[in-house]
Amino acid sequence: MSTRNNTIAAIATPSGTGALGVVRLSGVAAVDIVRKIFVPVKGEWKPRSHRMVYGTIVNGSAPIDEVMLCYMRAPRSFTREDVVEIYAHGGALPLHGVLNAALENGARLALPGEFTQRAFLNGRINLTQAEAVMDIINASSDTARTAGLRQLGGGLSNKIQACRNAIMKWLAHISLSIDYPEHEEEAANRETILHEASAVLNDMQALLKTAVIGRILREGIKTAIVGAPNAGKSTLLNAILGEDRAITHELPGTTRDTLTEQIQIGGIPLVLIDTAGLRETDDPVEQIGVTRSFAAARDAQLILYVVDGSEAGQALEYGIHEGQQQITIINKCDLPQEVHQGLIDVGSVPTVSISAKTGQGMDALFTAIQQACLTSGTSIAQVTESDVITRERHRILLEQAIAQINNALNDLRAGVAEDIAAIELRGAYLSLGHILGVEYADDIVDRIFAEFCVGK
Amino acid sequence: MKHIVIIGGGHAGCEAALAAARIGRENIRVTLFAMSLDSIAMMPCNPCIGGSAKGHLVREIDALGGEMGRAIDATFLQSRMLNASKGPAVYSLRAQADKKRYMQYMKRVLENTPNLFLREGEVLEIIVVDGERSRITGVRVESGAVIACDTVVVCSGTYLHARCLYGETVNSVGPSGQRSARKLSENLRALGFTLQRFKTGTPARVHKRSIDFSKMAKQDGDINLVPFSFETDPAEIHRPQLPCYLTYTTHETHEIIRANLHRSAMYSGLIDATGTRYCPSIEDKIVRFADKERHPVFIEPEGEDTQEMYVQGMSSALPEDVQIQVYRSVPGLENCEIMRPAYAIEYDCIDATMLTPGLEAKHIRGLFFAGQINGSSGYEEAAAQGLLAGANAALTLCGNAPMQLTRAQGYIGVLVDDLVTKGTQEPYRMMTSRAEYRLLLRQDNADLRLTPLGYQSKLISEKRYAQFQQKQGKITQEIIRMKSTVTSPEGANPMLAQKGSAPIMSGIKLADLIKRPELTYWDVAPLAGEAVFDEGLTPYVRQTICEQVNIQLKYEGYIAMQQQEAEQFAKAEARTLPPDLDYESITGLRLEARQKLAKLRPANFGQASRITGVSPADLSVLMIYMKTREGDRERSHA
Repeated sequence: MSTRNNTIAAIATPSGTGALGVVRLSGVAAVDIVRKIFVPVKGEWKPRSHRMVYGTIVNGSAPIDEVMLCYMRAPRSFTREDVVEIYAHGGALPLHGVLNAALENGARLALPGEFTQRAFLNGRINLTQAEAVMDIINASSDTARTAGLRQLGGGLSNKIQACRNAIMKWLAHISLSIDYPEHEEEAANRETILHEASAVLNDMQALLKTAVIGRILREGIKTAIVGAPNAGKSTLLNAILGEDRAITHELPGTTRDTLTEQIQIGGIPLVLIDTAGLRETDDPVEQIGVTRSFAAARDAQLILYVVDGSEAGQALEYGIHEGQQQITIINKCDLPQEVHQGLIDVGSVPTVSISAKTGQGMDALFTAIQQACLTSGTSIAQVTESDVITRERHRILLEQAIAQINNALNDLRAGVAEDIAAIELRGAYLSLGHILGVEYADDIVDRIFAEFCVGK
Repeated sequence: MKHIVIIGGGHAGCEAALAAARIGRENIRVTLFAMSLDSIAMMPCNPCIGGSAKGHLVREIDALGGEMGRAIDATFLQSRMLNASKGPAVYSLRAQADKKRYMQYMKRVLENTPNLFLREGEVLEIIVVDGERSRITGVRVESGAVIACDTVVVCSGTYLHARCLYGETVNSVGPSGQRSARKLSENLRALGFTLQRFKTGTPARVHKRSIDFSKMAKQDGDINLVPFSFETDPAEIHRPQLPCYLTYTTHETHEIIRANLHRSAMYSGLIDATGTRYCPSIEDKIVRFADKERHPVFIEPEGEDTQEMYVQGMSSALPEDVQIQVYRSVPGLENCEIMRPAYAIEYDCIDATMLTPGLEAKHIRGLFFAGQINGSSGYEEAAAQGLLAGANAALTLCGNAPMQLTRAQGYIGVLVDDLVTKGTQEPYRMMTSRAEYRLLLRQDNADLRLTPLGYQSKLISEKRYAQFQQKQGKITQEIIRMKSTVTSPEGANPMLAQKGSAPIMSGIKLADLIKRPELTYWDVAPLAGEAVFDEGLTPYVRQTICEQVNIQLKYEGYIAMQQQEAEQFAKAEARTLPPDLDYESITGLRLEARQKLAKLRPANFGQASRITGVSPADLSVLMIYMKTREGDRERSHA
């Protein structure tokens, strides 16, 4: 029996405490399983598609939670299979209880993205939509989720389609002049294409720029907290996260490894990396931590350089790499200050004074972080207003299409025959089609297998 | 002895009969039935062969050993290379034909081909017996005779249930007043074919003496002739060329048409068939392109021994009294005498998606179709299909695999694939824009692409193949010479200065210089010293070798790009789909895709991807289904 016939279940709502949570089942046995664990408030459960029923989930004889549930008969469901959604109370305990009841009665825990995979395999959604759903699942922030949703709705598709239509028009003009050579009046105008292309290229470039943001939305901005031992890096991490994630201690060198945490600041996803203090050490374990710290700092896009303001004579410089942004943080401003903002020569690097311990100056730090995340004049805050390329595959194809159009325009300017330039234009048209998933690509199946691990 | 019957003596029928007889040799008898033996290879519409994309088809027919190229080379009145200002991929040969001489030439070739028999008469019925798979036993002709045969190629053109329309008048006749075929349509329906009704038309012929050519622009043929056939030596053509003339419709023309539109068979409701967008009637042009102030009209000779002139661009289904007004509103035609009025013609054709890529009916073994019966339009499209269908009729009877051309091999491949995969809702005309790999499918390299295939199928003689190989070898040799010869600045810079090309600072390969837009092989090659040509190569063949080297080196980058694309394409073509695949059971497929796939039964993923109504998402589902199936098989074998 193929894996596609298994019935899968999972908690469909994000972890954390909410008023409600959803457990979703999909597969041929969904109804049978639910029948074993659901007791309606009155009488027997007669599953009717797209109707809400009120009752109790039980596991054996033990009641788990009071729920509403809805059955969606195949194919009128997200996966095109029989689906039952159980609306239980939020919080880990009731939801896991419901899920366990389902699992113990014949369902299998769904793999990440498996509902989407089924929706795709059953022809419910196309590849682009599937990718968008994967983006939503993997989104590290609300903004990324918004971008994912927009893509699903076709915002991005419309923009790509518009560029594709423009290219098709040029190709049609070129073809017309070839296929009807006797009709000189219909001849394609090289100048018209050169003229119109700049606007289309601008649109495509603008779309490509959003890929930078898209990547940030998908992956978060890698932010390394660096500084001398005991400058208060872990305390800062905790202060930003608002929880005791990192073990803090007054002994220098407490953090011997790097810790990563995800957080949003003003809708911007950050991947915070707490590093071991940067110092010479003989302790081999700490030495490894220091080496990793340097590596993490090198890969980071944003450096939070923490200086202990209460201690004089520290190294005040941190050499950032190209493309990195830095914020210098003078910590421990609740103590008598030996280091003052004005004394640090950091050029244009923004500097804020805070106390990670008391929380003083944290708002100013958050503002500074948001400021630093402005990339090439595009604010991440604008992302909710426009469409964003979030997929690496899409970015590569878009870059390719832009290069192909540029090649074609260079050909046309150099006096190369229009039908030859059309080869590059056609390439651009196909590249854009691959983003939309409307062009058939023979390698598509390999890509799908790589992304969804079908059959494993 | 096996017997192939060809139904129809038009351009498809002639090529089909010749290809079948040439492959079958002494093992197969081929009989061609024509409604009239006086209308063999008739051109009932325009007096020309070739043109954009169609010229490519003729060259491919010739490269595969077909007759059309040699026939037009022997009988043309004017020859021109169109699109010469554009890239080499779209250079297109076009020749004005002497219609009568073309017909005589073709009939003579047919009559002198061994084992090929011409018979006058209408075929009423193809006799099929049902078995495990239906097969043919013979055909019934109008005399009542039943002729036994194994294979039939239907090339019935526009004759099935043909009706000609002149305004309000409808005559049940075929093209140029020929008889229409009345019975075969019913027979095809009974055999399970879906028929559609198509429409096309032709303009009037006018008397030469009544035309004022001083009001028109004269168009002469090319001085440097390029023949269609790779076997023709232009040095041996000594024929004066006749001019064509260009004029335009006027405001008055358009007014007359608008005022009488209700009397055109096309707009009065008399015609319900689907016409072609590609060669519309003058009424269509006025209606559809209302803002265009004028349309070009070409006056072309129909033959050297006739005064009839063809008025290209003015096909019409208006009644004759309106036609004369319309024609006379065109500068130069003010006093024209119409010798044959324009008319529209309606006819039956089949849904070509019922055919394999080898043009055989999927459900009846040995029944082939070629030409307008498949929904195409044009002599060249017909001839190309005729060659393929005729060759396959003979190849399969001899127990060989049928010949199939892919979209990456030739325009013929594109044409046939479009017809059998997508079908057509209007008469299908070949156009360069239909070909994905245009730069690979040039008219100049048709022999390099297809002659080996023709040789394999016994359509190309040993002698011709030896000559071909000689040419091919010389091209390769010369390309290697250009790629391996390095020129010095002293050697090249004088020439570069003369050509306005940037001087070189250090040694450079000649092949790289050829890539410069302002330079050609002929500028650069002398730097490597005189090319050595084999004895016996004519100046024309030498010239074609040089052209080949020039194009292949100059456009090397683009050609490589298209080749890469074509390789991707070939991968999908190589992923075969079993003919018995139960599409209905693949639940992930959308209903439409399931039905289309089940109906068409594509040979491979490539063909499946081109079926209208099958989306890339459907293909992914299909591909995953196939993978899982393979996986299941492997597991069960383990």
